[in-house]
Amino acid sequence: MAAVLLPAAGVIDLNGQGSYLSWGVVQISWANAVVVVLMVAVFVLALLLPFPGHRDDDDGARP
Amino acid sequence: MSAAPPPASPPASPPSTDPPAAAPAPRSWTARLRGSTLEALPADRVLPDRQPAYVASWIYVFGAATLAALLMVVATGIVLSLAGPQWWHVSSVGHFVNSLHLWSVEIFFVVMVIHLWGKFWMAAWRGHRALTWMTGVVAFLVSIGAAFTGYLVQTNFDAQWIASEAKDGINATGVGAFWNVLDVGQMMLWHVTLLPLGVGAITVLHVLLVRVRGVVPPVGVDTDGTVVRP
Repeated sequence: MAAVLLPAAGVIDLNGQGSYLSWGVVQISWANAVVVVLMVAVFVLALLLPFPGHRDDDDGARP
Repeated sequence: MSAAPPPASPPASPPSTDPPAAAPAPRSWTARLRGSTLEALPADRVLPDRQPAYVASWIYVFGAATLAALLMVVATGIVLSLAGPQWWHVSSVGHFVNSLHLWSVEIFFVVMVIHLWGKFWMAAWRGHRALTWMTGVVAFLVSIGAAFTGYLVQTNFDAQWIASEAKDGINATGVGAFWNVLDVGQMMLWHVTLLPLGVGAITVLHVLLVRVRGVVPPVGVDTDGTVVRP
């Protein structure tokens, strides 16, 4: 059974009492959960976004 | 006593067209070490100016980003160690440097884990790169130890709480008698000497192995660098 505790101040004020997301045996602070979500987002964007300045004539370069 | 006659000169022979014989292999260990090092790591591999086309992707920047964050961690850590562990409690400049140290560590782990995800999903151990992968794994684990001891040497109540909570876990592993997280002096020395040396050494080895084997290509691309477009 999922129980979500999210006082609004807990997410922003990292010096205050932490608030936690509890899901069965999984328990993670909202601050850490936000960081993990952002990391996944950066990972996906790194795969999808085109790299600037890429030229197609570099194929023969040494790996 | 008469002088010995000069030795007879050998008959003149026409100049040989064969290539000169190779010089004998040097026997000195320094010469052999130099030769093997230059053979494995020629200058154009240590500092290349060209990369294969598949490296032009954002997913390939996180290794270098990890290195940049590590340099910032080391630089701010040196400043903190020069001033001592109490400095950041009593000085606004010290607090600023300590915050730089903390947040560069946060960035270090964020980009290192994204680097790990990218390399895991492209099976970066392909092409005789198993040792490169494993040195990355060890660097990650040693970095966790370095960060953990950093939290233990903040010289505040937070550090005391973390140490008192961690001691049960460490004792459960059986190494608590040797590696005592409640001993601030021991944790301080591990944090400022042993673990940074470990992270630095394994990182240098990791980067050199990347230079020796080359940057791993994406799955579906030949390991010799030939890009196979679908």
